[in-house]
Amino acid sequence: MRKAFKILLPFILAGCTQTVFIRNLPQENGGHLYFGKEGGRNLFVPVSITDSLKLKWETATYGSYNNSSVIGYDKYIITHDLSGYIHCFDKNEGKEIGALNYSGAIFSTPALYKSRMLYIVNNGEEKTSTIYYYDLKDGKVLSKTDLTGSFTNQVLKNENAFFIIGDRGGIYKFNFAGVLEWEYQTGMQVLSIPAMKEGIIYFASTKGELASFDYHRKELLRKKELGEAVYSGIVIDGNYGYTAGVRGGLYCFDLKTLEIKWKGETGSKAESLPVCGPENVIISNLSGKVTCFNKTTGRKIWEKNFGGAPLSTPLLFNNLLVMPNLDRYLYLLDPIDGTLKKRIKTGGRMKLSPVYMDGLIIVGYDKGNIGAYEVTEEK
Amino acid sequence: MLPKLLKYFLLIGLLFAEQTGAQYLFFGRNKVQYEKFDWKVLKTEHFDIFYYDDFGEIAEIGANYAEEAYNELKVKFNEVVNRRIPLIFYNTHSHFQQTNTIPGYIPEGVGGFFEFFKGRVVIPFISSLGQFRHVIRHELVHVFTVEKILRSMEDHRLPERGYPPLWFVEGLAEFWSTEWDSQAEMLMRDAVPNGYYARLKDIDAIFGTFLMYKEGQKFLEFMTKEYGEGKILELLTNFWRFRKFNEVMEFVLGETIEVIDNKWDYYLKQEYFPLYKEKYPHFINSKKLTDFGFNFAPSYHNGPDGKSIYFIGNHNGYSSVYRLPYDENSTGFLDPEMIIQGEKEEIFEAFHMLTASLAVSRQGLMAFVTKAGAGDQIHLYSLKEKEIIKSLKFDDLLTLNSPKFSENGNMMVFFGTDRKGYVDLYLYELSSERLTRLTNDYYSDRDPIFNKEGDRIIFSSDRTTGRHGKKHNLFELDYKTGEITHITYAGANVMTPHFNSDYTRLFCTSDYDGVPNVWEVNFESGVPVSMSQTSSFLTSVFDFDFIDEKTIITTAFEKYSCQFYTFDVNRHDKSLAAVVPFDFALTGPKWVEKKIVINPEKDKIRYEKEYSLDYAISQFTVDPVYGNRGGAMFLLSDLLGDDQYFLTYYNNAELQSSLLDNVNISISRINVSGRTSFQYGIFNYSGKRYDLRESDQFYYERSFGGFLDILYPVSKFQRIEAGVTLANTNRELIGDIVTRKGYLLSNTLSFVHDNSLWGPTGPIDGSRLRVLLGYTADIKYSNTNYYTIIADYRYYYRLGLMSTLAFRSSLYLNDGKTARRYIGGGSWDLRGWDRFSLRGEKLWVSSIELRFPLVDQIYIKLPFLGINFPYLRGAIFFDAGGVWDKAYTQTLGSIGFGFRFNLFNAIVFRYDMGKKIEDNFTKFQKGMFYQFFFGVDF
Repeated sequence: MRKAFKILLPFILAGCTQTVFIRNLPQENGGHLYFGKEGGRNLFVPVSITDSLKLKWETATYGSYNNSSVIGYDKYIITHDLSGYIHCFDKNEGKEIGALNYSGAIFSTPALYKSRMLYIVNNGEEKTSTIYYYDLKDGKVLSKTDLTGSFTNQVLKNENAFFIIGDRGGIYKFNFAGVLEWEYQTGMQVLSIPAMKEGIIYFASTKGELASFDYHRKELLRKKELGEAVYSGIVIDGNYGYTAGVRGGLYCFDLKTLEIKWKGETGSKAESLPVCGPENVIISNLSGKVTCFNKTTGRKIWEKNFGGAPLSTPLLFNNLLVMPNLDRYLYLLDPIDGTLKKRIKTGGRMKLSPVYMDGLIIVGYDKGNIGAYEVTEEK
Repeated sequence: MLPKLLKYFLLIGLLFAEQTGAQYLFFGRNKVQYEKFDWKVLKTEHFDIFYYDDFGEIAEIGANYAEEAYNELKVKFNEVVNRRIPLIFYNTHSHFQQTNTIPGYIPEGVGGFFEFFKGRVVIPFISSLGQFRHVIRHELVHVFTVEKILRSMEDHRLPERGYPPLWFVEGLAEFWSTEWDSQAEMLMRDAVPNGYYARLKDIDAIFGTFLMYKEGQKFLEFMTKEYGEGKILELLTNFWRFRKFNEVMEFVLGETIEVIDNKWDYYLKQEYFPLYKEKYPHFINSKKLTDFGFNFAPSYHNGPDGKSIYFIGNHNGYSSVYRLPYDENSTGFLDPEMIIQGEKEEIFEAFHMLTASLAVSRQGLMAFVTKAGAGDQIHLYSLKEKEIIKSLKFDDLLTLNSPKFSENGNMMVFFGTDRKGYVDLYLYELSSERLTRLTNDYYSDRDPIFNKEGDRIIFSSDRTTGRHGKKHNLFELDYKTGEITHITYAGANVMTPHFNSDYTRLFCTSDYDGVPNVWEVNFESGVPVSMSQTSSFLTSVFDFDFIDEKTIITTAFEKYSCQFYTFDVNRHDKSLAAVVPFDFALTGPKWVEKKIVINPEKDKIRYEKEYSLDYAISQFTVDPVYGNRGGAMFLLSDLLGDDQYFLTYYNNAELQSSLLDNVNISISRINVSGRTSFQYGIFNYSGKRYDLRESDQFYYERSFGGFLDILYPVSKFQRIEAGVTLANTNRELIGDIVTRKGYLLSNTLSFVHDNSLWGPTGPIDGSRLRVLLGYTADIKYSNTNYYTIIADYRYYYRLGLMSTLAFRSSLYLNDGKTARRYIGGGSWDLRGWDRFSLRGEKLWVSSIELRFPLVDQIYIKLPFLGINFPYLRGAIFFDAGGVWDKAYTQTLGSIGFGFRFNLFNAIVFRYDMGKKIEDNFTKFQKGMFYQFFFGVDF
């Protein structure tokens, strides 16, 4: 019976899903429109909050998540899941507004341009992925483009286009009409999150190559050997980029030259992105260790091991680091010295990177659950 | 010395599928609970570790290994296991064989397992801490692999579709749990040049073998070098994407399977073919003495039977002690003579084939080790008297290994495992029968021998300190002072020391160049300074013994078997000989293994049974004849599987009003925690019945009552069973007004014997017997009163390795008032006669059947993948029998031949054709009969 129910469940749910259809979407003037909010991917929020998080609502998607996040705009929250769904929720109540469903998995956080949304479906039983461009107002697909391979990285966006790096190293530019303008094959395998600043895309490969790409000239500018594969991603802060390797190295590099300014050791593989505060950079790795370095000198400020395996990127406030962990807990740490202020047990392995929007921290955890915690900003 | 893991798989390979234990079955061997364990639980951050008795120290070390592995694997897998993982430790393999976490008998070859129902990891401590660590890590890789796959499918909301192929799963467990070691190297050095390794396209051909494990490990090594280590995790994370693993591989590696396979093939050849330049196979520079079976632990002796080599071998599926005549001038292979038949009676229940468990003294006394009951025994066998003169068993020693005599024959030294799990050295004085413990710590001390004077012991141990810490090296023990000193100090494993026949030179084996070869220890002024290589065989020398001052007999691994060769230790090409100097300045303090840090008050507790559901199934059907039917079955057990509750429910009421009249329910408890196991329960069966045994009657019957069964295993091969059932029955014949009521009390007493050895379709050697006496009486109405006798004997006479002449003689007899009938006919007894067409209160069947192999493997080659169908067997049979109620009627029979086919080791199909013998055994039927059915041979 249970097996039959499991088999029937997708059909039942697919039958119940409704198209995402948002009529009165305001013009773009804020919001959290793609992973990291801006090209530098730095999940730092320059406000102070109290550590008294209060669960406001919980809701459920269908599948689970990878290291990605929800996006939000106005009163809407949009998220994707690994069962091929895009969900839209009311931000204040958690009530589902609509959903789209595909056969496959969506790893990358969707990206919004005004009322249009780009998302990537990794097709099941096929070696291709499809890039969809969807009009939220009309509730219809404007374009779809099939590309070979997996797309598990995060989408980039500038003022006039989306940029996607495929797992096999292809860089693709889609304009805001959803048309693929060009592609460039780097020949590198990229399973980490790229970042972008001033017309340059920065990314790192599974062979430990750090690279910069000029998307205006469609030219690979520089490559730098790190000596260890990167599955984490790149964060940009000022004139420097930060990335973490599979053997535990945290690298600070010059954006122009890609020269390594300093390298710190965390001791283990990181999948999450580093996050930069005003003075320090903090990284969590899969051994459960969280390490804080001075972002200018690379001096280790503190290091704590909390166990579990933090897979997704923590969210940094002025006075609090909010770290999701696969051990089902949401950790609240003092970024000054790593002291554990509080940990909140959730219903499953924490997967999504937390996102802060209008007094809410939105998190995601197994098995397809979204939770919104109310926080109070400190004056 | 052959590492344990290999031992397991070789044994599996040569023993075929051993019949599993069979409590409460008609035949079957027994899983004997020789001891009652006092279980305790150690609670660590991620594990509940179950151990017993004095194993606490090793359990704490094992707990630390487990936590270390957990922290390493969560990073490798990007995954955590959030449930607490039950880890069950057994002190020795013989205790492990008694586990109730899985049903059935665990063969010598299994070194640990991960069980799915309760997610338990069950591991015996074998030989050394290093091996223990490896097995813990290996099984935890399985835990994480399963978690990763299940989680991934759940994350994608896809139904479970199994796991990656076994070669990948086991290869990964090896790749992420251990280094590439000498046993793996030995196997690939043998498989690649000899061409029996499997390409990816044919990988199913090595399914379940030790080669599969090591090839899988090697493939992952190749894959990470060629494509990057991250590809392993990518294969797992992309498992959701395709139904076929080959498609996942093609997608992740970005090349077709053909290309990957060709690169893999090239990688292997590139690595192993050049080895021929400096190394040679065993048939070069040596003389081969055996060419059949598996042969181990050779011991040379020139005694009453002339020059002989005594050894432990497996030539027919049973391990036994053999004598091989030795003639240095012989050009052919001489036939070995079996001296002790093993594995057919309790005292020789099993041999530890791959440790040097046999030795002969100069005085003609042979010592050999067998598993006998709960532990091991050393048997002393006089070659002159040709009989066992003494069997030694020591209560606190769970395993005994590698006995060796002193030059004067008065003393024997061996190594054994105690209840703490310590593997240490022991000295036994034959005249005074005094046992002295020589070492006492958790270092693994093994392969001891005496020096010429008998006052010192040379042995191998992982107590090596300093730079080469934890490697096995040779040590010398002055057992009068207890002083232990290094003899060798190498960054390799050095084992099996042997002096030549006049004690002037010391030899050993070492895996310094990749696999164990023969080396000589060099002394200057009595001080060991180096070791030099004496042989450069491509594959391993497990053990050896001196025939004279320069000739040794080696146990050599070649073409996936173990054969004996003689080899001149002075003949080795000196230009190929490596010399390893010993720098004793690099030694250091004793190494100390970390233990888990726990709070003994809170985290170390006594085991208390907690029951959880093993499985629950239910079904509802609508049948055109019987109407609606539905039922469910539940099994609950405690974590150790000692205590089980079994509940069945079934109802076939056609109307809601008759629901209560058709309730079939039984609840039973099965307790297998002690040597005497028992089950008891209550039942209520009611509903419409059709009994094949009766005369085509439909009836309604309600029967309720209780039962108790007790089983006492005398040994692995024999048991006594007793049962009593009390049932209140009320039967109403449909369409009649006749009813039959009764309070039936049944008592049975049985003796069961089974030492059969199984081939792919049934027994091929040994014998099986069941004798049952029973009495059934209606204790209230006296409507029923009959006795029962069952005598069923089967004997299997081995004609060749895979050919057998099988005999069966069975009598089934119920006699008395309203005795039950037996049913016969069909493929399982009287072939040719319709299945279950013969009914009577008495039945006899006798059969003779010749079983022989037809085709060992049918391999269907498809454009890329192939499908392997092994084990097609033939049979020529003759059956005779009869059934009757009160007076004997006629003898029936049949003669014919048939085919047997084992499909994936899951089911045996049988197709028979022949002629029935009819009319009281006077004539053959016209034409032929053809019968197709399933089931193993009798």
